[in-house]
Amino acid sequence: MNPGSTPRPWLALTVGLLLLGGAYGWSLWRTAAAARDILADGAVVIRLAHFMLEPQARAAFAATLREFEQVRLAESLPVVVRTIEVPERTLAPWLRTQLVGGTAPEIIMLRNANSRVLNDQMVARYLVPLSLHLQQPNPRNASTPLADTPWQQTFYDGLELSGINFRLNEHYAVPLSAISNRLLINHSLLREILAHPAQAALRAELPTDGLPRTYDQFMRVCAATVAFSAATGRPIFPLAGSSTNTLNLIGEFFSSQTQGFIEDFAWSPTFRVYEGTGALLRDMAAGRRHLTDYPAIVSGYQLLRDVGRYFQPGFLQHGREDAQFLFGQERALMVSVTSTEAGAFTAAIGGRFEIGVIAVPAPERDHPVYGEFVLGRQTEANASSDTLLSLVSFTSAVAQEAALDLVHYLTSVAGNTRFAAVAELVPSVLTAETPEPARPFVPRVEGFPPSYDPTFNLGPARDDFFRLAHLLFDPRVPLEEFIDAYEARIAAMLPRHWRNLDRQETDNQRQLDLMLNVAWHEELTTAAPAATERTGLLLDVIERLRLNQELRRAPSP
Amino acid sequence: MSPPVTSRPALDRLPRRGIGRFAAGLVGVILIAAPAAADLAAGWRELKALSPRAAAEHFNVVLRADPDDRAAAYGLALATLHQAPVTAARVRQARDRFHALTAAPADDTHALAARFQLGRIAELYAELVPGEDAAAYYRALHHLAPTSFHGQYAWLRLAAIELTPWSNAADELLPRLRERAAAAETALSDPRLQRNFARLVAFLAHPHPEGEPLALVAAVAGTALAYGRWDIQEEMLALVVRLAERAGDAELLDATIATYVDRFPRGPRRTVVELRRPAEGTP
Repeated sequence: MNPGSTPRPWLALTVGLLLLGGAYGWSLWRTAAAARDILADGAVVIRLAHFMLEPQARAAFAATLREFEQVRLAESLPVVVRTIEVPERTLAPWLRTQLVGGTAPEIIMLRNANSRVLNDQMVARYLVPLSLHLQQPNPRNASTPLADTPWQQTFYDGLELSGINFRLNEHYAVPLSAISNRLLINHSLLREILAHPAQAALRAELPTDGLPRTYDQFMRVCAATVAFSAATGRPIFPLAGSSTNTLNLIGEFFSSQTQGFIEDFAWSPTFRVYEGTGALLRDMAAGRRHLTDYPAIVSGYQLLRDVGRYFQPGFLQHGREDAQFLFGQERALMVSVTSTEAGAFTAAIGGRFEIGVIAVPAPERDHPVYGEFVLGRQTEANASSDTLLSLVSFTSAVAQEAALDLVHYLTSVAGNTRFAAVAELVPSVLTAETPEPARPFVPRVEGFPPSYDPTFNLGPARDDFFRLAHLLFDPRVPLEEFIDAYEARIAAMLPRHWRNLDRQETDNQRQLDLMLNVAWHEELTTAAPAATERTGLLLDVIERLRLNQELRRAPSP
Repeated sequence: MSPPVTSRPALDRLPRRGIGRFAAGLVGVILIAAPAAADLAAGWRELKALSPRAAAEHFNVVLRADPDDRAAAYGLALATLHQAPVTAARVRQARDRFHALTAAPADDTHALAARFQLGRIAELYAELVPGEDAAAYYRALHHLAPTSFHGQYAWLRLAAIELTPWSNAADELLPRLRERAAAAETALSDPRLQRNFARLVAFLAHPHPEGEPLALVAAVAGTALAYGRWDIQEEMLALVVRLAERAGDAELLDATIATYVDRFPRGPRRTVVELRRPAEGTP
């Protein structure tokens, strides 16, 4: 070696240290990038995007989120929560852009975990699957009666429908408030109608608050409204309907007649009515039986015909705003609303008239005409909430932990009570208090699950139902004419629909296979119990999807 | 005579040379191994995010450094299979990559997983790569490694493939079902697979409720009831209730309904389950 040269080992060491330093610096930068949502004082920033723009909801978010910040501060885990208000009309493009661009907030609100706002691919890719969390108690319920209850079972509906993506068979969201359908009644106008001497008998029959409760009372109030309109010359319809808010209403009437068909779904792998795999549909598609062979179905459509004559003409071609306008202008006595839209609705009325609220008065078992097919009152726990909170998956671990904590808080007894109180909504969590204005909207959780609606719960059959509705609601057309025409459309559509479903389920199994492989790899490399649980969960979903496919091919039992 | 002067005494040089070599080695390890490990992890992260194209790039980096890295090779095969759009060429390429992985000792985890994937390709991509026999892959895999996760899952898939064509013919189905249910006791030790087998038996047996299928389902469901997942327990109890009613086993029906109501007072199927409670005085 040349005595004057620099010793090579030291050069190598220097280079090595430089590289190590570089790697360390790089990892620091990565960590900093991941934690860019941490403020100088150490507070984690969480962003929550929602579309509840009503003043009460805004105030509710402000109050509850500030409380959450205080709670975290007291725990020396400071957070700052920022809300992003997105009008519902622009939600879909905004959300997709944010997700694809990697700039989405940590928490997003959705109306439905199966909506077109996000397709299944985006849901699976960008949202955090919650099933494993839902099996554990909500830590923000500590020291409450729900302390040891799995998070999923703390919700009023057990999340049977809310927040679940049916095709991926996974929960991707939890509800902030419960949902129910109710009829709003212009109580001031009803008093005016009932004041007519001809309505003395009806007046005496109604409960002390003067609102109809039974099917017959409801129908007599509708008839009285028609008579009042004719007598006074004031154009008043008993019911304001639209393509968006009426299907729920008439669905509940129709479903009172089809409750016996729950047997049809009792053997689907998930017992769910909306899978389109009921024996009735399979028999119809195979031409083995016709809709007119089922007295309950005929009775259901007859019931709709009886109720349908009290809507404004052509109501299924009208939009929600048209129905709201008719009701707001006192040209309709009643309108159907969901619990979450009721607040905005009554605020728009501005106290110009008194509003009463009643449950949908579907016929009961003792009804002389329609009681034959009724098993009992229907549960409302089978409706999916439309205020769903989802976690975005690509955010930093620190932000995701805080975001999950916030969702836990918002759906804890304390947090949910607080939110519901200010927003005047029905809470989604058991034992959370319901504020006075929302009490008439508390959903019934007992009762029979709903069965077929008038479109047989088939999305693609809905348009045909709207197209043929004039036959259903025109009393001059024999009812069978509508039923036969509709059956022909459904029978023609079903094979194609099932092929699409089959293809979709195969695609989903492929995708879930990949997710199963990833879970298996994590199980292999980390041996974490959560990974084992996740593998089992995915396996359940894949095998259920497979059985769904088989069920559509099998004849009815 | 003093020794010739060198730059440093030999005793001094040795440790320094050792440090230098250690440092050089460390650098080498960092340069080669660290990026490879990082890329392997990144590849699986991308797969988790359902980004197979990006995942494939990471796995390729690993494989260029170490062509024998089996986790990367398996990841690359998966990434190839799941890249959009799904084409026959891509599926064939993935299939070939899985095939290449199977040339390993019987206890190689990735080889077993690859064998299972070949069965899945035959099942789920049949229209793109026809002529593959899923049952044959599953049969061979279970024979090769019957106690492994994939060996057991292959047994379950094989049962589903072989039993479902007979679901309408009780005479043919029931002996096969009995045989499979008896074999399941030893073939399936993984509870995740056991509960899915229970669901499969229930699904196949329900059009033929008399006697034996009820006993089969009740036995398998009983095993499934031991698992912690409340939704699985709830589903299994509902299955037994249904079958007990159809088979006319009033004692089992009564007991199972009572268990259901006790465990799941707010269960989603409670109303449906309670509908099956025999009326007072019914024999």
